[in-house]
Amino acid sequence: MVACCAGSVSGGVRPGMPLSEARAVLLGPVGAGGESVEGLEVVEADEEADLRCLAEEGRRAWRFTPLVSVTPAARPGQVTGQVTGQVTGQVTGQAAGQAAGQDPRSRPESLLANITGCSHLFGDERGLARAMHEEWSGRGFSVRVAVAGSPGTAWAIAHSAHWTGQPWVPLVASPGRDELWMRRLPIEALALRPSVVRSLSELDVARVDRLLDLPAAEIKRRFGEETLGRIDRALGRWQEPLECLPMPDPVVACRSFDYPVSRADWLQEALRELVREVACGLKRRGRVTWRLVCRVQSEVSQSEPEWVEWVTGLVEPSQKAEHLWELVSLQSERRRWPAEVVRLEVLAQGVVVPERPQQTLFKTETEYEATTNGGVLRRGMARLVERLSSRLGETSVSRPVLCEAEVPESAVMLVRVGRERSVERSGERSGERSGERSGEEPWFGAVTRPLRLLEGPRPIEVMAVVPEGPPIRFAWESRAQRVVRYWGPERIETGWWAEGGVARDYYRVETDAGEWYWLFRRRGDDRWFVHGVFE
Amino acid sequence: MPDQNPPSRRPPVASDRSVSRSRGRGRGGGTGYVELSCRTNYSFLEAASHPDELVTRAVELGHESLAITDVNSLAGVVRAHVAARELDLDPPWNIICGARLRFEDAPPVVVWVPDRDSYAVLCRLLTTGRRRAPKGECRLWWSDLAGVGVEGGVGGGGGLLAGVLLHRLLPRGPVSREARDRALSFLERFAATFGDRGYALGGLFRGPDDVGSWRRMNAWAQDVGLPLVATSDVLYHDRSRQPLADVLSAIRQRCPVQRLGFHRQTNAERSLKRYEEMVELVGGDRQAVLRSLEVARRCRFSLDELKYEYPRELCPEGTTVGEHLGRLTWEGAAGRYPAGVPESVRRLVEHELELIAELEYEPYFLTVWDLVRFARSRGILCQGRGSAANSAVCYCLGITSVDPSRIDVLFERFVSRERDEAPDIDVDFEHERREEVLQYLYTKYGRDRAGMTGVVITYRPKSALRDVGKALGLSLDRVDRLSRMVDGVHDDERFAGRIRDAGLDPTSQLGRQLIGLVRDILGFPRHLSQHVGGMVITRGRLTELVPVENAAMEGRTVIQWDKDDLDALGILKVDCLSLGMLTVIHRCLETIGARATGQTIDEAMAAIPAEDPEVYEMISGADTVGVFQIESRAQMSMLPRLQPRCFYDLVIEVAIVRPGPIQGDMVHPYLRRRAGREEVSYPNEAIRGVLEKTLGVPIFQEQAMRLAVVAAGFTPGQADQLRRAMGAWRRPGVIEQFHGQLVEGMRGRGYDEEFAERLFRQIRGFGEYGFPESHAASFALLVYVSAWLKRYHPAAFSAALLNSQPMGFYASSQLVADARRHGVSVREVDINHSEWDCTLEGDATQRGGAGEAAGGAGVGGPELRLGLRMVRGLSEAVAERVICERERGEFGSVQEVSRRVGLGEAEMARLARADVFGSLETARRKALWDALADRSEQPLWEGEIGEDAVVLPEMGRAEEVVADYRSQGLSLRGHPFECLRHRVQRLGAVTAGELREQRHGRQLAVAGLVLLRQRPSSARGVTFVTLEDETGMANLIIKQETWERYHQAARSARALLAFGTLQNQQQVVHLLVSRLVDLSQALGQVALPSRDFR
Repeated sequence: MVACCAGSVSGGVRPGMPLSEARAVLLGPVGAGGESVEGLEVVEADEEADLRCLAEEGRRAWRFTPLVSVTPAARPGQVTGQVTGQVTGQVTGQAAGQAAGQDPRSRPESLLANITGCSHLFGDERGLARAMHEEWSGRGFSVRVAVAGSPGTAWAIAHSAHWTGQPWVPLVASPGRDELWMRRLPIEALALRPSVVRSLSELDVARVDRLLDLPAAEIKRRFGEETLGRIDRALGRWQEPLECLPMPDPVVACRSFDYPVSRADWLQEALRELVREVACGLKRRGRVTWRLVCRVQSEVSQSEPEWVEWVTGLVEPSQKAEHLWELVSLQSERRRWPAEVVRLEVLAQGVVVPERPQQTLFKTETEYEATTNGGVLRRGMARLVERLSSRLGETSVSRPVLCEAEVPESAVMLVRVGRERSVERSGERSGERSGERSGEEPWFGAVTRPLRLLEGPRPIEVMAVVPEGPPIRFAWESRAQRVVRYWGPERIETGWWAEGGVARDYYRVETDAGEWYWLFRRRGDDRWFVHGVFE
Repeated sequence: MPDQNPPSRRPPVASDRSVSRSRGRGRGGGTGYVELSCRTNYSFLEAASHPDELVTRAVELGHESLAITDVNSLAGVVRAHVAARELDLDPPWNIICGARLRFEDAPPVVVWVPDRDSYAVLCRLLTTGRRRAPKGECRLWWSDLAGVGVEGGVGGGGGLLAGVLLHRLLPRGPVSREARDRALSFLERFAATFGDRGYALGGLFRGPDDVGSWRRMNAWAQDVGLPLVATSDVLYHDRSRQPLADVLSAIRQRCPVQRLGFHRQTNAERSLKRYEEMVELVGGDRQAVLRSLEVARRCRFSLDELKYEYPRELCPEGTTVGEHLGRLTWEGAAGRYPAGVPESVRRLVEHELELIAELEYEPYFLTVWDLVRFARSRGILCQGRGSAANSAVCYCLGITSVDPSRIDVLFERFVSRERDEAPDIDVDFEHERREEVLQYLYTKYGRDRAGMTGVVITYRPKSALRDVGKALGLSLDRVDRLSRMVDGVHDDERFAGRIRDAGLDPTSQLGRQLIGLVRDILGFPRHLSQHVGGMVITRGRLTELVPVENAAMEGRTVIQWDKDDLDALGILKVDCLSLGMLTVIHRCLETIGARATGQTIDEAMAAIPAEDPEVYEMISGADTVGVFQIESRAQMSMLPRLQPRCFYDLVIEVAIVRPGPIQGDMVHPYLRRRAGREEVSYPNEAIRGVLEKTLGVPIFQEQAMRLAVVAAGFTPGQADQLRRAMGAWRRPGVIEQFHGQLVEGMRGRGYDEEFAERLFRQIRGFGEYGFPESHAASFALLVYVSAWLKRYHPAAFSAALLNSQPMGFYASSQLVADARRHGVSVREVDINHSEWDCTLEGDATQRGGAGEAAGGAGVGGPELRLGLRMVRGLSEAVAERVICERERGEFGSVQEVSRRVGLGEAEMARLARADVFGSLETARRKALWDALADRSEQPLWEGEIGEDAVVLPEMGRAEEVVADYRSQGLSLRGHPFECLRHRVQRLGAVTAGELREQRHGRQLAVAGLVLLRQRPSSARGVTFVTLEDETGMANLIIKQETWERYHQAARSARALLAFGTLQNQQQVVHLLVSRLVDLSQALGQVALPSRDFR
């Protein structure tokens, strides 16, 4: 177990416990009332996701300062500003990733921010720290904030100074008192290698002051240069550069109107301009976009401007102005413009470097189709799908995909175009372990399954000569049908594990009228149904 | 039993063995069908029926035979064969022996065995494939089958009949030309290889286009000239097993059934079918169905033809095995009884030899004798036990050491004329040297003639629930909880109850399915493993008798049959087991100077004086830490009640604390009678004969069995079946039938029903873990020997135990504490004095304080020096280097050790942490500080940094103790609780020592380190916890409610404070706990007093 909430900590759980033990500790021995089983939520640790989340939160921190770092990697010479204050907040609401490597500082749980010159906006450092605290605790994180003269010290205080008993109070080390704070902290605060911490505590060197009293040369001989380096880092003895999150380079175009505009044609024209601007911007940067967001601000009431957002997704990323405008306009036709528009924004999201298709010498459209058949959507098709999706909404454009289910009505699934691959992927399982597949790969030829199934099986009256035998005569659409030929039965028995298990004997029948039907007898009660008509 | 099945006893049809194909096709009149492709659950996780279920069903459906064709295996055939034999049909039914061969480069093919020669070919083929692949897998190429003929001198395919599975070969619907050509060319190759021994098997399973499929299969078969035979390619005997088959697929694919998709069968058509059904299925093509009979009748091979032959090299040229065994026995007898063989023994030996000769078991006794002889010649301690072992012959041959005049031996009880059953002798060897014995067997008989017996690992409630639960899509959490709850629960009602307790409604669909499927899957084999020590030795090639495959251990091979299969076919095996206590006894005897006096280890052991009252005194006082078998907590609490006074009491002691007597509730009646509080009476003389030596209470397995015979009117054979049925508890029907018979029979003979029920439960207990008197007697001997050693040579005994860790119930710290309680002085591990092993300093042969009170047996004797092996994480190689270097002169300083031995930082730190530098007067912390220093970067001149510049905090005593525990698992300085004593005293705790003095029924508290937690399945949820403080051990009984209330502390605490009611009766002291407090934190503070931020 990598991380746990405060509730489970008070229940006796500690990170590092095997999950089963944690569960036993929290829920009691098996048998102590089953209802509490659901009381514990277990989420798989995902360091990648943690990092992503942390980066997301880091961008939120731009509210407080533009210099925010999630990776404490120390590449010198990157940051040039004077460091006078650092803030670090610890995020433990998510499962913090595996104890990363040997440097506790590299665990994806901390934001380091350089607040130099920002604190006056919030009164003082304490005020800023409090605001930060509110920002994240308000959003469900358990957070500890500390301000100190260097990232190392701030990290140390945030991680180790819980003896105050009030972890929710932001801790601020006043200038020049960093080392005084540090000396009182346990050596874990120095973010040393775990093995070094273990050895030191065996030697009863448990607090930072004890360690600092030892001769540096002796420490180096025993615990290596690295340990000294980490001590210095924690004490802010060298300027640790912060690798800050890069501020995005937005591809945005916007227009504010001097007075509210309500005429659709004007707005349409303005929007077109903006899309063109964005497309130019993309071209200039050599990028393509997956998604355009149009934001419309209207002034319904004086005090509260209202934002409306339209998102246009693309199947294939693009930068072409006409193409983008076509999609946007299709969508804007579908929408109603709000009244009293005061501002328009167009924003390209999902901006990526275009993947260039391989150049061939004599590339023709047909050749392209042939080679990518089934792989990438054909180009023309992509255009069509994009247009349809813009017009009808993304969920409206789908295609059927065969799935691994024997029950005919669930053997087909409608999937949004462009997503089929992911569905097929999830159906496949990696590698079969035994040589033979136990089930047969089904093959449904044109004659074994009707092209169209009815909405659901419909009960019919059937006459069969023998109880288990084929149908002879049946009534369908209030007409008597006589069976002249039949094929079957094809037996489908499945779904015993679910409520809707089926056990059916299917027959393909040809009637005297020359029509073909797909019938089945429900095993168990011998009732008959029509399930499809061959056309 | 050779050739019990002569051709004349077969149905008349069998005589037209050479039926030509055209005639076979021409037979239109008859009806009948034989399933030729049928997997059992020995095709692990593929098929969903037991072999016997398939056989029974096939008989019901009127089939005249059944082919068992497991995937690359012959493991299921024997069970089917036995099932058919037990049904005792007329005309006798023969199982067609075969296999489904799965190739790396070709579609699967089913082969059948027509005769003994091709059986050998198939065994060889499977062995080849299995030996190439890792454990449990098989790698075969088509050329292996097509080419086996070349090696064996037979035509292609080695004389086997074969069927190609068309429904697997031919993809339905439109296929690429390439695939089609590939399939066709394989068909042609197949037809060419097998000629008129080849068939095409076609299966229809109510698919989308059966008529078309059959037409295509027919056409393809005709194209290559193979006769088409209909099959159901069976996976289960009855269609009701479809869900189970799906679950098995899901387990194999490791996904829930919902997500199996095309990995599951669309319907339940893979079951055994009637002739008429088959004909209907294939659209009236009777010929294709009838042709199965032709194949079946060509397969005349029966497993009964496998005749086991003993190896030849058992006796010298020119003598018969009988003569040789006789000579060895009488020679041995003369050695055992130097004063002349007593008349009673002589008669016994003569009688046994006669019986052995009659049953032709001489080679078996000679084989075991040879093993024992080899072990003796290498100075390996060994001892035989098992049904045939406690005979006068075995005693004379030196296989056992239980003098037949010391316990009553009735050979017929184990080896009887009526039951033609293999004798059973297990031989225990020292656990560290058993490998030598196995290697001896391999060298003597060769790898192709000796192999380990397999063990089929089957589903038990816990594993069944785990796998089925996952297959039904329960979350891992839930499966975890459920499976822990049902561990060891066998009957349905309790099972359902446990499921409910775990929060799943057993009446919901999911609950019902779960319970039903788990019940079905119980007893299903899951994989093949290696038997602990069963070896099979043959005269000819083993690989022509049974397929051999790789075991998990490198270089080990295991045969595909387990001991029951071998029994059923009359193939003998010898069990070479390993026993840690023998190692301990060996080491101990060696230390106390057995070698010096010129005795062999065996002689030294035999020379231990028998029936020493002091030893029994010690045993009766439950002072048995480290003693073989009787050191467990349950045994220890039995000892003061039983008060063993002679060897036979030990035999009973060993046998009484077992599932059998406990579940049969026989323990208390026995104790009452022994204490004279209950009258010993027998309903009749026959029963007196059975139960006299155990005061009328059945204790041993054979007593329970004999009681079934004498008191319930079972035949001996039935009694034995009863026991076996109990072992294989998956067949509730059989057990119920026996249950009725037993209870009725006993009631009819004047027993009350309650006793009959108890006897039944006892027999069921033996089914799980049988314990006959002969086992108990052999074990009791080791109990006595180890107890004697503990009593008179406590130091040597402790050293031997410590050097054999891990074994037994106790950790090193308890063993050392126990030694010290017995007056042995123990010295700490020291870099200048310790060897790798724990050794004795002073005169090791000295008993020390013998004759004093039991508490001081070791006083004045040799001292025990702990060895470097006690240091956690230290490798033996490093220790060897240290010891080697030390021989050139003792070390003078920590730096010297590191420099002279050339040890790295990690090893030095390990030694420093274990505080082994005592003789250098360097304390742990200082040593560690020194050890951590990087030696490659010595300061240029020593004075540059004065080492005394570093002042490390001194360690307190408590800290030292905890550090000792951490680095060695024990401390000679004291016990962690000494430092906590004042604290726990304030909390109201008394010491474990004081506990003994307190009155029964008092409310008390006790605190200590948690030594072990135990929850035996027979204890109805009660947990036993043992605590240790500085004065000794205290036993806690925690009832389920209490456990649950304090589960956090109860489950995980390293130290506990327990409040409760004292139970102090007959010197057995327990605390029935009502409240628990976790003291782990307190212990942590002792460890690291300054780390107050934790």
